[in-house]
Amino acid sequence: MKIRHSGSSLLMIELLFALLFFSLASGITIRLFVKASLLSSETVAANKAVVLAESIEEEFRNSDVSAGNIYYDKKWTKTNTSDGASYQVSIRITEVEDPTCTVSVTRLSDKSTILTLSSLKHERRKVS
Amino acid sequence: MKRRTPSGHLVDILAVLLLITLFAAASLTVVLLGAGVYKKTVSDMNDNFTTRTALAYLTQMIRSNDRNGNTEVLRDQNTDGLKLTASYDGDSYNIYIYVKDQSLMELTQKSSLAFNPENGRKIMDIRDLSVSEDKDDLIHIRVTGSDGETEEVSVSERSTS
Repeated sequence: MKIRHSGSSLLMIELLFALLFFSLASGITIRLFVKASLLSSETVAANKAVVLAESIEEEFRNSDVSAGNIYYDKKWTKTNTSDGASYQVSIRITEVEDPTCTVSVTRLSDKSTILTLSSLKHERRKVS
Repeated sequence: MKRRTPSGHLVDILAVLLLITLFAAASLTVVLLGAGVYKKTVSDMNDNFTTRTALAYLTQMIRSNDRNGNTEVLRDQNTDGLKLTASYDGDSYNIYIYVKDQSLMELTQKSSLAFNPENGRKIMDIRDLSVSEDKDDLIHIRVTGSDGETEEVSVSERSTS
């Protein structure tokens, strides 16, 4: 017995296949978008962390920096406490041989370290 | 054989139309999502380029001319910037880095000549530059990019006079 399909049923089957393929493709694409967005945010955080850590290291080289924690919100504005903070900048000073300043920038949401930077204190001298 | 009624055709057409609408809505959502991510990435890249490039440029200029503590803060009538001193073939030169008409400018000229902001060469577009030096000779540079993003960095001189 021959089964006859109407034109609209065939079109619907075709559309269903197209939708299936589209859902698979968009699933992969959306995952890529999310990954791209996360990478972009991580890059911004890493750039901010580098500038902040370098500034603290420079300050340490020229003057005295006190050890402790500084907190920043998600827009990298300094906050007084850890409440509502998104990032933590830890400053550690060690004086075993030469004075060394270690700055660590941590993302508080997942406690991941974005950057750790160490520098020694050098005597400023005249360069001819 | 059973014949299809006109209402059966209508249901078929409506189902096809519904699928097409669903397809169009899903496509639009994916395109909008992609556009949003792209816009954010471009904005982040621009922020990074304008402010960080200017900061890196200023920091490297201080580093490359760091001799005998010769970095000074430039205070002109309407200009805030840096004044560096360099020596080439026995002649002394001043390098001025400042902002004029929302552009970061550089001017290198003999130390004997008076500073004129009009003579500088444009480096890049920025909105504002603020430079200050504290009692520990630490230079604080604050750059506001053309998109309004502000970034700040501190630079210490390695040499002393």
